[in-house]
Amino acid sequence: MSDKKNGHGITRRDFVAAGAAAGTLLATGAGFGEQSQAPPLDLAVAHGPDVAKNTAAVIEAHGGIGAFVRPGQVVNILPNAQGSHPGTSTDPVLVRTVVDLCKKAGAKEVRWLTWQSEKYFERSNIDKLVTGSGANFIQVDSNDESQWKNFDVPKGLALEKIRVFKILEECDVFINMPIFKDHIGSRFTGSLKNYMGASHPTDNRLFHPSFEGEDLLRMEQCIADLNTVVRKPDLIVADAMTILTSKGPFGPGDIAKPQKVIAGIDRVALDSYGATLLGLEGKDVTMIADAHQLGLGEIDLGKVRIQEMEVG
Amino acid sequence: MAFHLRACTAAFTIPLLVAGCTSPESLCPPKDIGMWSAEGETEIYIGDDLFIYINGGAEIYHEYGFVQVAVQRYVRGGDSISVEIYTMDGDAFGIYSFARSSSGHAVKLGNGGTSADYYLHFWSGPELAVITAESEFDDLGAAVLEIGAAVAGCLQPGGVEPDLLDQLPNDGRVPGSEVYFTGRLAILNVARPAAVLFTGFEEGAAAGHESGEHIVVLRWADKAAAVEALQEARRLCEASGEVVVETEDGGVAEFGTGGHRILASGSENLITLRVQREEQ
Repeated sequence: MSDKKNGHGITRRDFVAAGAAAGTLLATGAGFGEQSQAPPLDLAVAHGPDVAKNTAAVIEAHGGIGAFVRPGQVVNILPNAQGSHPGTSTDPVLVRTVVDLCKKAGAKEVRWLTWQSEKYFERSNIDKLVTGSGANFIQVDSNDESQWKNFDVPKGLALEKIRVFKILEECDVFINMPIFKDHIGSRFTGSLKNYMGASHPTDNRLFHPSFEGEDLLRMEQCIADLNTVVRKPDLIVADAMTILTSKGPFGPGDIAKPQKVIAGIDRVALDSYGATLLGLEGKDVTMIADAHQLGLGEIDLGKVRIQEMEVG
Repeated sequence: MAFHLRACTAAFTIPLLVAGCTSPESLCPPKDIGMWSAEGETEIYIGDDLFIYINGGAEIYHEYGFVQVAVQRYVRGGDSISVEIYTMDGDAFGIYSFARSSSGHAVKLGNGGTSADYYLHFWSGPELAVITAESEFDDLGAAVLEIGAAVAGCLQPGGVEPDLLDQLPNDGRVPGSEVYFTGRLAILNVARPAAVLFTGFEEGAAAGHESGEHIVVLRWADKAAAVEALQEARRLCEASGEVVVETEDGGVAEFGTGGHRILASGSENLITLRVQREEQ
């Protein structure tokens, strides 16, 4: 087997490098550009110093952007823009890379959705990199009820109703783009919690009115409940290049540099993997355990097909 | 208050912008600090508008009595540093103790400060200053301290550390690990197992111990409330099948909760908890 690097700077040897330390099942086999005989992946994890290369690599490992986006389609993206403190916002280069790939695949429109003020995106520098990429910034007005859909949450254990911006569903492809980091309320934030960027901010604040008694863990159940009604992701591309490991989600706090980008579709599996980067297991994070209980995904990384790769 | 904007804050919709509100001469800290220059306008968020500035995580500031925050970015070429001045409704030691780095080193700014690799917290009176390098550059630590020193002279004077800190044992206490709190979210982060069991306290203090334990002191309004809280914790443990060990004198209880062991002892309206992982 050759160790010659392919176009992504990844060697075959790197490509099948062990993720065994995390108890992962590796999908071994084909490098890029070849037909894989391995079973479908759950998670692709790229490790390396270049976020753009990592991002391209994890999407390629899932079959390339063409497996998700076809010409003429409308793509919605949901990055996490928290602010200017390091490790708090989805890396702007990651966002730009995904937008560029979608455009290259022929997407008619890529829409970056938020109800937040533009200032979040200015502070996180996402706007500078994404402006000019052709993505449309769609700022949903939280005061305009016509832009929000009321959901009943029949499977909800804490949440009965929730408003989510309508435009989230009005697309062909939805790509969730969280950053893994610490959270003072839930210990961890990732794919599941990033959906609070699509649910109404007033409703979000009712997730955790007091942190008292039974209310203590209510927010985490509410997030799991929210995930039972929102549009499922067609793809999740998560940032774990530089992450906040304490005093999250806003910081400043301790920083770790896993230098990883992770992609998959299973929200629970992704977050369960992300939790390990903060020294936790999925079961340690109530929100992840609750989501697993609701059937939203696999929490046991031993049952998740993970492909780890080194990207030069 | 930093940025000296008191005279105009009440008249504007939030976020309030400095431009047109005050002359550059009156700014404190100044627009230029060494090679660093203020970029854009100072933003001020008051009360619930903190949620406009912080999306997720604003609750902890409110728990500590948040009044307002002033935010200014300083730039030098492609490098940037943010300055945030939080004003609380009482002394800012509590939010300072919660927000500061647990692995930083002490610096003499305001009433006390903690510097970590890319950020700095210090407090004085009701104000907490947070100086954060937003990008990586060679003299990052020195630059953060330089701007911090310029900001320090702008904070309101005064303030004292809460008396409850004196109840924390000195022997073996990890220096700089003390956290003072009055609310649920803080204790949830400082000592999560204790947060699950103990409610209704008026204030608390916690610190790390060189043994790896966490020491937590909680104060209730009176002894009866403290005794009731201890009994309720015992009930919660028993209801969940957790271990509860009564000691002979009845004054100390040992709980097992969520992989942790908590040794609780009461004295008047105080309960002291030693929280440790069960494998210790």
